[in-house]
Amino acid sequence: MSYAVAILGCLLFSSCFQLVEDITIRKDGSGSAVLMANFSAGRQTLASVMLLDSVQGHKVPSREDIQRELKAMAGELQRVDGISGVSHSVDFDRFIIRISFSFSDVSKLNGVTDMVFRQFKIDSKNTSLYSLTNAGRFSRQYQYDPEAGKAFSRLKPEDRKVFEGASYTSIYRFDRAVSHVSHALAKTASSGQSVMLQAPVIDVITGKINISNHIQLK
Amino acid sequence: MTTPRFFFIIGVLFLLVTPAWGQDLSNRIPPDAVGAVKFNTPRFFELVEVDEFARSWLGEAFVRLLDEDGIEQAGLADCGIALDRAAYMYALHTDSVRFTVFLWPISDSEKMMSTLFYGKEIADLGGGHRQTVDRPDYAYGKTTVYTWDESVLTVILPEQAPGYFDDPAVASRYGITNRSYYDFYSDYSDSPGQDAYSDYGFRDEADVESADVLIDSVGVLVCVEALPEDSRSGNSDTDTSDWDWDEGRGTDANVDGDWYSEYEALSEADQRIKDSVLTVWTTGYFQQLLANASSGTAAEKASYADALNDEAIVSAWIRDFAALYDFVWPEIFGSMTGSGFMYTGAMRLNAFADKDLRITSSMDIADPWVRPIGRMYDRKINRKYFRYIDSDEIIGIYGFAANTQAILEELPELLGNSYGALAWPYEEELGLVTEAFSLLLDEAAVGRALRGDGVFVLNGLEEQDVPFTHYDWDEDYNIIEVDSLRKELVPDFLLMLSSDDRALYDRYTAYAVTKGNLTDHGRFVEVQNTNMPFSLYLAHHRGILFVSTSLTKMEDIVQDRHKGKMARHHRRMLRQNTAAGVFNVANLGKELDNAQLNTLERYLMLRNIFGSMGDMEYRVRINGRRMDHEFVSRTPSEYPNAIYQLISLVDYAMEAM
Repeated sequence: MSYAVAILGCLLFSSCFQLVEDITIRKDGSGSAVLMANFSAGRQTLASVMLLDSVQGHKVPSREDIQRELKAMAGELQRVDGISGVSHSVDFDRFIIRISFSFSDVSKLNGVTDMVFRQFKIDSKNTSLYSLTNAGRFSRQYQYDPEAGKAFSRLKPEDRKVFEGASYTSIYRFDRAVSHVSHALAKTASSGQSVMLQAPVIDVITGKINISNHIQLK
Repeated sequence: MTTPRFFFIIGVLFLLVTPAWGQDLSNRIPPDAVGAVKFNTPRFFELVEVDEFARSWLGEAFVRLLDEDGIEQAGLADCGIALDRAAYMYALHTDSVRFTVFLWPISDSEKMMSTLFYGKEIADLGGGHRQTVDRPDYAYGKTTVYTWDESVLTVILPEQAPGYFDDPAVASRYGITNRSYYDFYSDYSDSPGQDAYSDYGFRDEADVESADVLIDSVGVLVCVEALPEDSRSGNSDTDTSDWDWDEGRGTDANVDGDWYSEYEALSEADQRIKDSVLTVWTTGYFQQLLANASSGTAAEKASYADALNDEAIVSAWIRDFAALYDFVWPEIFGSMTGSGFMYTGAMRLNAFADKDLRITSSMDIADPWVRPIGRMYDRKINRKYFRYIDSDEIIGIYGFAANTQAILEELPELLGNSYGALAWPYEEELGLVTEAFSLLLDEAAVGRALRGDGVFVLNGLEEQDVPFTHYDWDEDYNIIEVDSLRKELVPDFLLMLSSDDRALYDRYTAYAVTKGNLTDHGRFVEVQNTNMPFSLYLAHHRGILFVSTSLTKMEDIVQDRHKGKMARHHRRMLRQNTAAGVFNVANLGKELDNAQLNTLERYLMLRNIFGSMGDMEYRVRINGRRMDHEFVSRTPSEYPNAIYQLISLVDYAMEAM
């Protein structure tokens, strides 16, 4: 989900970071989600940056700032209808952030995205819609906003550089077998019940790759 | 022309001259000046050709400035300023006013008036002296008074002494209200009605009693009638249309019942009164200078003559440190006794540019401090450090030699003497605390643990393997955390401190290891749980406490494999001075090849800048009662001297921007 990127916007001074969303969906539509942001590959740079007050015109948050923001977001997440069991953790040694929660229905995930953008005051037309039909069709629809690509191209070269090597990974797990996946880059696990989609973050931002995916379950 | 621009133009003009001698303006510096600076322009132009300088960015900048001011110039030297004699600046203060004075020699006063003071209102003071006053565009700006005759331009920047006009007796003498923001605010909240403001309207006439004669401690007598009408009453006729007012505010009282506007207007009227008074005093001061021209000069003082070096391009002299402190911050230092100051007497500073740029200064140490300072710095740098330093590889070294035991023994009493007055009303408590500190502390033991001398060496950037965690997935897409290594550049520095107490180090490190704050590597330890982006290693070996960021270097040190090669020059510098430092610019430039610079342009710019610079050195030495400082920036061989190098650097920097 894109809200992982928003939360960690201030930490994007490191390259080769990984954004992961891992969602487990049960037949009744409920499930759990784990979101992770791994900046470990740039921990040296990040540790240096966090000793500074600002860098390249961006204010550097302290560890307390980051923890406070995450805690606030977790609190907001808990208040979203259908969301429960929110937990979060930050590893400042390896620079890994993790948030997990449960949801009562797949459609409740849509409220999470909206909440994150509101929390970080991001006016984005990039929308994600999650749905699960009675016929067993799980959809994640991603509406790309061209403004995001334009904004990215306006960044200074040194700011754009931090996205090089960064990857986005989504994993959807089901309690039934997967019969069909729409996205060309998506792969089905050997168990037949999990689907993974990986894409470079730059391609997602610029719209070169759309992460919409439709998964038909048996 | 604004004042800063004026000084820039003058400063550049001074650098364009054919040497010829005239009247020495140093004779105009009064004996009670706080300090003086000499700009030795004849010497400057022995070192650089006039044409070379005129073609440089600085020289061309002058022409551009004059063009912007609408002054047509046939050449750079057409402003009437004599460029073949030295210029001076000095500072003077009284209890009411501070003067910063510039003395510029003139070759042609008519030409100067028609260029630098073109369009200005010029007053004739008589006796061949003329004056113009540069008033600020807004109430809180600074006024500058220019007075000249046929040979000298005197520029005086007056500034009120802190708090002088806050005295109610002084304020009432000049019709200054000194109404504060909080006065207005509290009155407004107490009495919000419009009628309540009528008492705070502008005064039509000077209804405040003012003295017939105004006297300040400089001894200048000024009649109240000499003050401009508008500044006396506060009812300003000054055209405020250019003032930076917010919309809706103005000088009239009770503007829409806006008490803040009223406060602002009164405050600015007060400021203009003060400014006018300062201007009158400045003129009076200049007249006093003329009247007392033969009654002594700073140039007659031995310390002044001792301070100035004819080979220097700039020289500075401070008459007395106590006077300097009192000038800079009288509210604080005015309460300190003479024994509180570490330095005494005059300070001397000279800047040379014959080949390298060299700046030297020296100060005398006050009597109460001589013996303690001598004890505190009676040590030399440990020679053993030198085997761990490689002069060819370092970017910088800084070394210092002090005696920890002596410092701890002497400092409490010195602090009490120096800062006791600042701790008022707790001087006695401060004394008790410092005495208790002395009683409880075992200075000798601390002196054994850290003797007081040390060296910091910056070796540059080193590529190290840094661990990181990468996510991978198994065949069912369950996450797997994979620990890997990647190459990162980390700063490579080494800190060495002399220490005789190995047992203490062992005890503390053993404890820290059990608590998990240190990891034991056998002969050295690694610091854990830090926020630093690099690892830190500690070792106590051969009477030295080592702190390093490099694992390989630390291993070499504890196993006596490290082979340093220290240049004789660096060795001498560290051994012969109380503190010394070297910055090897060429090696820094080499590190840029390794550094992860974002753009090629930035890389090239930094390489060109660093490639034009030589090493920099700094040293401090205590010789009995005297403390000497020296800073040297070595000039690369392709430049004849430091001035050519400086011009070249400025030209390149301006081009690159």
